[in-house]
Amino acid sequence: MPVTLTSLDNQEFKVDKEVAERSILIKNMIEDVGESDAPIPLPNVSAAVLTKVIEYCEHHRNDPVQVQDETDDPRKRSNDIEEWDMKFMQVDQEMLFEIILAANYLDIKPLLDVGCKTVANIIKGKTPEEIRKAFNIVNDFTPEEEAQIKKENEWAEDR
Amino acid sequence: MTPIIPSREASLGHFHRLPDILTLDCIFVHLEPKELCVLSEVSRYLHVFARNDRLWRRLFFASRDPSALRLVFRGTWLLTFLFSQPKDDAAFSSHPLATHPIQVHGVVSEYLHQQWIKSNMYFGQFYPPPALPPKPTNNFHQLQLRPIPVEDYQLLDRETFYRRYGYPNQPVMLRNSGVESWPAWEQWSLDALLAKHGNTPFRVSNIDSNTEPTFLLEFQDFVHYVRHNKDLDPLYLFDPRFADTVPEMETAYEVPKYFDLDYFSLLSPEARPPYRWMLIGPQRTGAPWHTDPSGTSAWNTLLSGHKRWALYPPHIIPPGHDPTSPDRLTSVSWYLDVYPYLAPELRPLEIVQYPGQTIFVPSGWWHMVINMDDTVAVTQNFADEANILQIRRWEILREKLAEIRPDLAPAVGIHPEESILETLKKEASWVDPLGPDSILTWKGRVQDVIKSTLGSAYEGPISSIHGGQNVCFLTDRGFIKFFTPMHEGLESYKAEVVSNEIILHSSIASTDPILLSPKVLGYGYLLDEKDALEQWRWPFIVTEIARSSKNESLEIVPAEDYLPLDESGYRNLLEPLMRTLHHYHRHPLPSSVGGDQSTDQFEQRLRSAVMNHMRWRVFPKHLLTSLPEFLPNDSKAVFDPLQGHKVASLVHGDISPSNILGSLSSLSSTSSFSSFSSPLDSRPHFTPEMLIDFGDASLQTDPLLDYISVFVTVMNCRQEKTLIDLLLKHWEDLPSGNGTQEKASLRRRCMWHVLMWPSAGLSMHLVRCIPNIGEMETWDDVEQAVFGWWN
Repeated sequence: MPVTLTSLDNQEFKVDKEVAERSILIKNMIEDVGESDAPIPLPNVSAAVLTKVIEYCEHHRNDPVQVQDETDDPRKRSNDIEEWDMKFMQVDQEMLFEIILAANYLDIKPLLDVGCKTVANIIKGKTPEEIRKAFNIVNDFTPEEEAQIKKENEWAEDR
Repeated sequence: MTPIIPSREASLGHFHRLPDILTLDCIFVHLEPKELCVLSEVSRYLHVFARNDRLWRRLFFASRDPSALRLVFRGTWLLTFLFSQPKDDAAFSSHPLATHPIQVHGVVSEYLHQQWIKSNMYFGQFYPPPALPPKPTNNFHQLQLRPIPVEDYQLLDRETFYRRYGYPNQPVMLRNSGVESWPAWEQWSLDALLAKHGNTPFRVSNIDSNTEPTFLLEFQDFVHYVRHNKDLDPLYLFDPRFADTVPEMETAYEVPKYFDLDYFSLLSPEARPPYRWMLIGPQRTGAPWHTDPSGTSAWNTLLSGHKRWALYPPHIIPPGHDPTSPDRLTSVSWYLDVYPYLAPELRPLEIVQYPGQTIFVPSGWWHMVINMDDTVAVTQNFADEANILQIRRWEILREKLAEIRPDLAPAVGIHPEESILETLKKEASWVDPLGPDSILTWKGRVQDVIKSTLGSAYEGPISSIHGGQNVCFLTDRGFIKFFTPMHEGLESYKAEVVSNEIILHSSIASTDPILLSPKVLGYGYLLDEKDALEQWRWPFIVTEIARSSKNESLEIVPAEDYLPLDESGYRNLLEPLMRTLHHYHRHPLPSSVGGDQSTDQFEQRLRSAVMNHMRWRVFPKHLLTSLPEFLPNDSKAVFDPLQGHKVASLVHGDISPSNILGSLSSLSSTSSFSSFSSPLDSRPHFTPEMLIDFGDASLQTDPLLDYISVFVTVMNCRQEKTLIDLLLKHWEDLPSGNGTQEKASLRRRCMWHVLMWPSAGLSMHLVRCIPNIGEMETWDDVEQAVFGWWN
């Protein structure tokens, strides 16, 4: 049975229920409201972002329910992104952050995870100046402050 | 120099758009120490984020040697991470991060602010608000919790304790139990323990860490941590092996006199699950909402400090707690983020425990604790006579118990039905027909049944419905019920077919409208007779869901969640229900149906009653002991038309709110929300439409069976005259048998019927209606309390 989703800009998307229910928000909504032909409004997600999110959910429609396994260190998992997901996440940063926000709103934990790991990977290995450039951040320290923080962080250089 | 007010947008760049909780807990959590240091140099906002001590706490525990018994806590986890060894003392004391770390001002984050409040708030005066005065209400089913009583240990003997609290499974706080004379009273203060056991490792819980949830830590380091930390969820000393580590600690406290029996003590020390803990919790620590493991009960004695307890009875899942989720709200978060928004009547039972007091937490009760200051306590979990049926691990106890307590053998033995069930469970989980393992099996079965009985294939929706012991499905073509082997499923199947046929082939003689009954579309067995030896044949019945309502779109629901709140609601429910039952009670039977089958049935029920109650243990022990004397010798005393007892032609035999279906007439939410937003006027109005489940029906038998099940399960034993009048409206019109010398009173026969009921549900329901049953001396008292109105 297909489900209709309506984006912020009023575009309608018809997707299989199984695909839509990758989103826990939508899944709960369908459970609460019952079977219905009425479109589900998603006023926080634009059509462009929803297209991407649906693409992700289509690809992962048959994934087993994620088993909570957080016994391992989250840092080790930031480089275990699947190849397809890695390619999927090769978008401009605007879109990347939009996808994270949508995954958070729609409650699609695996997508949120992949998005956040991708951002973490962008940070890794960069200098402060490179990070500022990558994320459009203004250096708002005074030179004195900057020097003092560098001093505080000296220990990290030889680790 | 003018202070710089950083612009959030400029200072966070793209991160400005994300909620701070995502930036910190989902993105930065993936970074290494070095990368966090780089981030701290990027901008003011990122500096504050990158110095967040929860990130560093995780980094510390991820890199720490898990077997290390020492921990040099240096005020923050960043510093502890950096200077983790005692040899780092000198470097630490001269490092700028320790001596004069940079203060970055003007960063605004609601999320970090909440964290700060929760780690700096003082809980020493965090007493519960005064209890609400009882509100006059006509709400029959409101959550009515009895406040937790405080009892004087010296005045409360063992027997009274079990009557008031043990068997009724009610919590109590005990004072004046002589804890002040325990060696632990002096010896278990932080200072005394530090002096004597400073180098002894104890087990510590680290609720904030997934990498190292518990670890062993020398006591001196723990105390140092307790005195210097500012953590959101501080470390909590929670040691089940303290008495093995320090043998003298075993005799430093006494088990209160009520709890000296623990069936788990029958197991060898290696097989016995952990059962006792020394608890040293700094303020802000606590236990989030939970029930104790394996259905055990617990006592907990506080030696110093103050603990604020919150409890909900087993059937109320605490608001804000999701038992299916691994994420748990800490006690502090629950108190700050959920509790203030609860409607007063939804608040838990609350009590503050003072030093020297002992709380009894009964089996299955939800509880949560917050340590208002630094606390020291000792606790034990146990299995005793009162909770033995709840103990989920008793299979490991079974053998030992039977040797030592032969009288408990019926309670711990395996019933033949249960062994069939065990086999069935292996087949496909019918316990959860829509579970991932069994959904396909059942879908196929439902489609097969529709095809074989209705003659055409079915691809439409199939939904699972709670059907008591049976597996039930709702489809567009009808309602399908598969009978399980529990409670003589084959007999139920036959009874249901016979009674449904009788109802189907008779015209309604009643002039008043009655509730609809299911119309049979077909019945049979899923499996062939040849399979009967190895497998359950799954008898089934397909019935039509007929609707009287004009509005087809109304949802059909069982009455159980919509029991009336007031008298007019009961009138709407009881009138059609009793009229319908009366119609069946006087329904003409086809000539082919033979006479009296009920003597055998009642003989059987009477013979198994005592054994059943020994197994179920629903009633308190002293009542169970006198049960054989109370029951009659001859089932004819319970029902015998020759004594003039009234006879009904067709008795439903299992009235309960789940067997009454009806429609809801308001548009109010029918989901779980309704339990929270239930002001009287917005509650949906329930109109009964249908009576289902004739699996316990019988012919030419005692109409009292229906009267008592309505009284106990639908009316919850309420005795207001108006309700009793509704119940008994048609009683006098029932024909009496031939004979006049009726011996037992009606109320006695009602009580006997309850006790002879073949499943535990009715007794359980009755016990819930009379919470003080533990204090009743005899069955006459119980009978008087429940059926005293019927003379």
